[in-house]
Amino acid sequence: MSSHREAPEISKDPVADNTDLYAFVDPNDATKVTIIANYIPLEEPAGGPNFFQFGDDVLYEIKIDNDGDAIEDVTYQFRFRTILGNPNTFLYNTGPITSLTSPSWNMRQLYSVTRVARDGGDGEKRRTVLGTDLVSPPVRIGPRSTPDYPALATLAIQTLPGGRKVFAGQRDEGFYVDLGSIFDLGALRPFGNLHLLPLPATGGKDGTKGYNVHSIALQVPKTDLTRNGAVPTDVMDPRSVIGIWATASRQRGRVQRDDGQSESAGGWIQVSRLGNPLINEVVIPLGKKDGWNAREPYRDADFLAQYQDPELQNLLPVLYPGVFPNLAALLTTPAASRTRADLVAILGTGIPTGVVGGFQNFTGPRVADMLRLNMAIAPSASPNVFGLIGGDAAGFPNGRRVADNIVAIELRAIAGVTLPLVRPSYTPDAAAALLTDGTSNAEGYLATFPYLMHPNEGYEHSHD
Amino acid sequence: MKRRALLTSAAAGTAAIGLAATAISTEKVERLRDAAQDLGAPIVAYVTDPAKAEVVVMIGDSEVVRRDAALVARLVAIAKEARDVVPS
Repeated sequence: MSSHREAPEISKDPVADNTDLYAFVDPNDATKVTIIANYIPLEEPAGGPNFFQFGDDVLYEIKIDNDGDAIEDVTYQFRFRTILGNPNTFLYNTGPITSLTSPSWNMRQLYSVTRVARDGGDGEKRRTVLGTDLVSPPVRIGPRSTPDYPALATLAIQTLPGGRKVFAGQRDEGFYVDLGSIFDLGALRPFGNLHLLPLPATGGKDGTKGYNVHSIALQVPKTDLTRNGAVPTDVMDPRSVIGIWATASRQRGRVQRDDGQSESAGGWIQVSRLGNPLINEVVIPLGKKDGWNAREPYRDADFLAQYQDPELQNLLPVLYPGVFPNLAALLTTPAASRTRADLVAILGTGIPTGVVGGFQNFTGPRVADMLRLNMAIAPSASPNVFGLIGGDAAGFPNGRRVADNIVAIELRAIAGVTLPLVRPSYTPDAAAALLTDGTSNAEGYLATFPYLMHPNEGYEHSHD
Repeated sequence: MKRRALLTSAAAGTAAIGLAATAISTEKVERLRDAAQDLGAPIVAYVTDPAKAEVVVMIGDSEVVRRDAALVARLVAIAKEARDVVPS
């Protein structure tokens, strides 16, 4: 998946596991950017009696680089605390939850939002608390407990000072991917008959269907994110581009007490991060995944080789014999002569001026896993889920919208569709532009903030 | 040291630095307790590499790294005692 359970250590710590990151110029207010950081993979909606929630002992952060050094200039921090109203019942709620102050809602979470930024002109970081005791909505349990969930969740969209908006709570998993097939030796069901170990070709099965995640969605003015508060208007101006990533951190020390509780102490240590989708998932090898999660993006140059010659690129002609003859021929040449500068640009540095006409999202030569967004590009009136390779510069890899078909875009890019951008003599295989796992998100998306659909209900949901 | 005290020391990890290593007066224990209450949170000490004589002392969401050969030596000695305790 995009980054769900993608590394050995974080797969054992779901509440701190970044799963997806989205960032796009808001289609309902183009003066603002919406950023959504998801955590907690594959939440089974029927998760009682202790339903999923954010970690009180986790520091969640969304980080923005606006000067190209891959070091955060603006950070939004989110801290949660759980309130237990009645410790003498096993119930999450003792009756229907009809409002965010409903007395029957027994176990609730409040959170704070703090902005840390170098915007005082002296280079010093300043902390501004934007909100405290904000209410995270309850999880979606069922028709008796959460009878009008959309209304309840809408109440939890909080307005913050400075034209900002925030929502933190459970959502439908908007990322779609055929998990069952892809991790069965790289199989894509629509092309199952062409696989090395063939099976009949069928449609894809969305492996995340019917599962939920926990989302932190933030809508802020563009000027909150740019250098010196500038308004980005020129697509070709480097100052219009920001790099975004989300993290989760735990304190260095944790002591298990004799009373069943635990205590943490010490500085915050990053245990998970996410910029572009699928990087730690399929680009970084198993032995380096945990280290990658703990590292800051500005130190990503060590992983350059994985971008230049990704393992998946080498697997495709093997798994699909005869389907990718041009890619197979390319791979017979020395690795040093065929480095994938296109992938380095798309995923590592941003695309420089002159590669795609009228477009750039270059943040400089430093390779770093950041989701890069050129904020001067207006939202598309007719979004194409294939983003930039589908001719829609408002979509991935220019930021990422909730519906963008990330699996297909990255499969196609790795299979060679984007290689001619830097190697004009290369002709992509016909199959490369058709690659897909055949999935879509059946639940759909909201047309307004926070854009990800209301969560699946515990009482009635389906994974088929 | 009595076995019970040693077990308590081991269970508390490295938090009660010094308390388990030597006998100290009741008055000193009370002073330590008062000082700890002022801090308002448990203290965790972390020695990653005794050879460097560095100890990370953590409290709340803060930590400080100190190079203190004597302190690290005492913690190493306590750790050796703890290693020999049979888990209950």
